[in-house]
Amino acid sequence: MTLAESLVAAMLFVSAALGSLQLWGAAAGGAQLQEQQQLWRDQIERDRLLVQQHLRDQLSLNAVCPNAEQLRSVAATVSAPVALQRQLSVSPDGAALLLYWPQGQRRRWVTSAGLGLC
Amino acid sequence: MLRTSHADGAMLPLALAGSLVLLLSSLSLQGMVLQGRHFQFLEQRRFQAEDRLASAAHLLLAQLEGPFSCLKPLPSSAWVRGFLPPECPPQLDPEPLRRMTVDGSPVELMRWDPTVQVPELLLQETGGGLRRRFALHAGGLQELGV
Repeated sequence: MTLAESLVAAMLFVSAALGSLQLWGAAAGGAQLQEQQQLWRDQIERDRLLVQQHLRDQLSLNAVCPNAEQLRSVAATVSAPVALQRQLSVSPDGAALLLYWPQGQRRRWVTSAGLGLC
Repeated sequence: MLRTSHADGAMLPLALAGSLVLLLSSLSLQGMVLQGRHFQFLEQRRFQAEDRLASAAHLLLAQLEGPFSCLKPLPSSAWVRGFLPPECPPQLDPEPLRRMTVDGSPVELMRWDPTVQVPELLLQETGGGLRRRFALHAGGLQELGV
C-alpha cells in the first residue's frame, strides 16, 4: 500500500462522511420543522373549534344577532394555546369576525348567522 | 508478498464504495424529507382552501340574514333577477351571492337549498377547485364534506 493511495482513500472517505453529515443535518432540521408545523396545525384546529363553540355558548341566548364587535369581545376571552398566536379583527362593514393564526397562515371569517346566532 | 499486494489494491475501491453508501443513504433520507415537505405544502393549501369555503359560507349566510333576506326561503335556482318575490327590492341583484371573493380568491355558490329538512349550501372554488357542502342546523353551519 503506497502512502499516496492511503491518502487518496482517506480523503475520499472523509469528504463523503462530511457531505453525508451535512445532508443528515439538513434532513433532521427539515423533519423538525415539519413536526412543528403539524403541531401548529393541530393546535389551530382545536383553537378554532374552541372559539366557535365558546361564541355559540355565550351568545346563543341573545335576542338579536350579535354584531362582529360582540363576537370579537367574546372570542378575546378564550385563551390561545401557549406559543400560538391568534389575531382577531372585524370586517369594515362590521358583519364578520376574522380569526387569523399567523403561524399556520390560516384565516377564518365567522358571522353570527353562520354560527346559528340569528 | 502476493497477498499484501492484493490488500494494497483494495483500499481505494473500499473507500469509494463506503463513500457511495454514505452519500446515497443521506441523499435518500433528504429525498424523503423533501417529499414530506411537499405533502405538507399540499395539505396547507387544502386547509387554506377549506378556510375560504367555510368563510364564504358564513359570509353568504350573513347576507341571507341581511340585505338578501328575501332570498333565504328560495333555492338558489330560483334567484332570477326580475322574477324575485315581491318582498325583494325591485333592483335586487342576486349575482354577488353567486360569485363571491374571499381573501382575494373567487368562490362560487353552486347550490342553496332551504327546501330540505336541514338547509344545504354547496360552494366551490372558481375554476374547478375544492368543493364543500354545508348544512345549516339550529346550532350553525356544519361542514358535510364533498
